Amino acid sequence: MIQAHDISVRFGEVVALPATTLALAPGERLGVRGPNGSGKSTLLRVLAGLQPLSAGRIEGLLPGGRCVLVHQRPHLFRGTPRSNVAYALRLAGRPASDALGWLERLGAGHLADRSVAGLSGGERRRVALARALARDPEVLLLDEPFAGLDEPGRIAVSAACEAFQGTLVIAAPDLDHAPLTRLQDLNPQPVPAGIAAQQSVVGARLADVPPRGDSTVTGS
Amino acid sequence: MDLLGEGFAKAWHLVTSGDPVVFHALGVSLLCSLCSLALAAVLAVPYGAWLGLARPRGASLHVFLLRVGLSIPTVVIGLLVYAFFTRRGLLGSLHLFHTKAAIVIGQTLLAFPLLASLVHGASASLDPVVAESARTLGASRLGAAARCLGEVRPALLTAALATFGRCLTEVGIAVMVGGAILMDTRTLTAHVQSEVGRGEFGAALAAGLLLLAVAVPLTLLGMRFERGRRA
Repeated sequence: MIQAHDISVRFGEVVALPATTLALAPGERLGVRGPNGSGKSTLLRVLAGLQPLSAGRIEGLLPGGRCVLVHQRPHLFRGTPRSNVAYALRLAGRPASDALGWLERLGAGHLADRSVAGLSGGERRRVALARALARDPEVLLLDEPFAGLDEPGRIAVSAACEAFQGTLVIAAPDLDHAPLTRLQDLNPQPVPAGIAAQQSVVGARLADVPPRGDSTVTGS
Repeated sequence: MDLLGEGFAKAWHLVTSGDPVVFHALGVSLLCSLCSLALAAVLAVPYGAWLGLARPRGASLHVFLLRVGLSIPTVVIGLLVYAFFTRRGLLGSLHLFHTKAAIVIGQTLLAFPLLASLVHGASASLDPVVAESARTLGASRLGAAARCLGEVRPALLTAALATFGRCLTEVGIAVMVGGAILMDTRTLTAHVQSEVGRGEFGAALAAGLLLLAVAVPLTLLGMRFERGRRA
């Protein structure tokens, strides 16, 4: 269980993450929604333990490997998609020979032995997700996993998210493709307390969820 | 022109006949430069990577001092090492004066700021997402740093070549602390200087030709690494 109380991040005068309160239960699938600059990526970096807080407190953070973040613009290490997934498998203490299977789950098996330098943005995203899943984390944090994906890519990523058994957090401005159980809006503007309401939409796809007023909002 | 023509003829003869003096000097040059590069790498690669990746407080002061280190003339480094290892020096009792070990120590001092600067530049240019990607997958701090260095491998190889070349072509340290002793501590560059001093232009040119023979393949190798860097 990860619990964040009034956490915020500032870089000098710039507020990267306005004060936010959040609770993340094991097995939960949380969507973090908000416009550009609302702090979605910063929140994920905080949850991944990669970003120190400027204020507030957070409990229950897991170390790298048990909690894996897939960046908005993921970096693939020199080599091939196969060597990237094999790296995660080695860190997990598993046989590197499973790499192809993980790539195939994301519909990227045919890319296994190509140089990562020649992959498109969407292909990189799929390989990065395969690498993260191969690590078998308890918490998976995905920063805009559907951006730049074509229809087969969206279906593959969505299916992989659905099959993932652990705790999932997806941050994006639009979460129509994500299999989620709850939404949290991040808003850079202060939100009147009356609007802030908590509602869990268990088992629902976001497409079925009303666009606003359905979230746990804690604006600063 | 006669001097140059005759010099080339003699140099060519010395090189093709495998002149023991000039080839011994080549061996000393390669050995000392390789040892200096290896010693400097042990110190400079972790230090440069730490500066570039961890970005500690005061990193810019470190970088400034490294840049100052780059501009120290080799004879000044030679003088420093001389002051330590000469018989009356602080470390004179080690009897390293006029040995290859003394040359290696001096050349390591020469190589360190160059290699550390280049490693710092390469690692500081990396997107922080690279280290974060390794960390989030569960790599230790050291493991993530090693992964980052792997990402800039071509730049590191270019840095190593540049540093090796710097050691190979320096003369101030080799002469001042090595003593340019024939068939012992005389490097190729020291040989050039000694032979010109004796009026043996051909012998000096032979050493110059051998230096070129080492430098040209190194340059080609460096260009290959550069291509790998852009790919």
